[in-house]
Amino acid sequence: MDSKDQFDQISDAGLIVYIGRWHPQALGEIYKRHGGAVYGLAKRILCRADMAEEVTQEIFLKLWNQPERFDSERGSLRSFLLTQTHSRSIDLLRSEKSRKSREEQDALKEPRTSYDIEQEISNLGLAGKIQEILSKLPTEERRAVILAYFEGYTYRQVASLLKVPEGTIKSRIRLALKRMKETLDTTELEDRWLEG
Amino acid sequence: MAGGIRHEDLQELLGAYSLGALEPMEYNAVQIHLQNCASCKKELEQHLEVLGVMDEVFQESSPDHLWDSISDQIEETPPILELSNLPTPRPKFATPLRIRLLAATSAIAIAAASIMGIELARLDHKINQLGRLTQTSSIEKLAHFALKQPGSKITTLTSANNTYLATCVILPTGQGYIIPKRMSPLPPSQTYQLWTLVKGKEVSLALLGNKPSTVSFRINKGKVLLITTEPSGGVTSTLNKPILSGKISI
Repeated sequence: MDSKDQFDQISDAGLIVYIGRWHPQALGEIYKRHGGAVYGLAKRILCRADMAEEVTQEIFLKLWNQPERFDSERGSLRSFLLTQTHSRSIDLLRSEKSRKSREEQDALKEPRTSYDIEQEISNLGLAGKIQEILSKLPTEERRAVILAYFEGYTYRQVASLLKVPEGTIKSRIRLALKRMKETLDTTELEDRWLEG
Repeated sequence: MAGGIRHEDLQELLGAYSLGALEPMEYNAVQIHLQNCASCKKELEQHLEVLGVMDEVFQESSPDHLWDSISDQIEETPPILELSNLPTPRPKFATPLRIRLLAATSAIAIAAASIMGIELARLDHKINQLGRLTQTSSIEKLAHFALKQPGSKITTLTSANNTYLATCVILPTGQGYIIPKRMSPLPPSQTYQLWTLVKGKEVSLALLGNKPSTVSFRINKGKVLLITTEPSGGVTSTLNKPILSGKISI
């Protein structure tokens, strides 16, 4: 393939083939498609830009060196990259350095005893698609996700803020993410129909 | 069960785990459980897909220099094969008796071939002709028979804009047939070539010719099928962009 060829026209699985043939442009295209999500996920979990960069580099270099680790039969490349990123970020989070940084951040939150969730939602000015997805959630589930996602509270802290049992918050977060996935799939399907 | 915690309890934690919203001591239990639980792994992937969309929208975008530092670290050429590290093949020595036997056998063979050679060549030609005539129709019949077999894997190979189309059927034995549906004829100097990927490397399965018709192939490994255009006669490895591709269904 010469350099003029359009890598952006190739599917993720096709790009992996090109990585196997040592085409750095293919890795560049994958980074363009998924680098933002990989970095964003690492940054959210680790709360530190330098560590998020480290994880992102590690994930993409691993893909370059061992493209055969991705099996398209088992799921999408995005899922594969995000799972790797999440697992690596959690490993780092459990390391002393990062935990300390996270605990410092948590300590800043503890004095708050009440939380104006509706105000927070309005302040966030959520981007259209996500706003639509979140708006379809039952209020209790939406609150739990927003506190955990946007404010970085642990589920126990969310439970304490909302004054509900911890088990209830665990379930609400899980259910909310499941519902959001369903809505996301439906929206994507509708988008594809409209495009078609 | 991980550390005495039930699967159902760990499953309940998956949402908070994907958000990074567990207490430090809980991560370990979930991570251990995930190593052996396919359903929880699947669920985690689904949560991460949702969060990936959110992260792209809401998290600080990746810094501009990040891609530069990744691309600086990648090697753009395959590592050089260290020939000096390869084991030296053991030399084979022919015994004098073996040499004498070989010489005698060769002499007989040369004499026989000179007498029979012409006849054999003619016969070969006839067999090839007949083979070609019957092969086309029988391969098509076999391919259509394979399409109806329970357990056959049927894959549609398409191009990015659906200009090209081919159907592939693979029997549980690994015998496969590719049935071109919409594939333009190529100049005689070119051929369509069918590939699969094994460990990220392309493996040639069949040549479809410049006017593609149904052909058979065998496949043992590989989960994708790709078709490229190559010089007539085919190639052993390719750098050409696939014009058709499809994933072999489970």
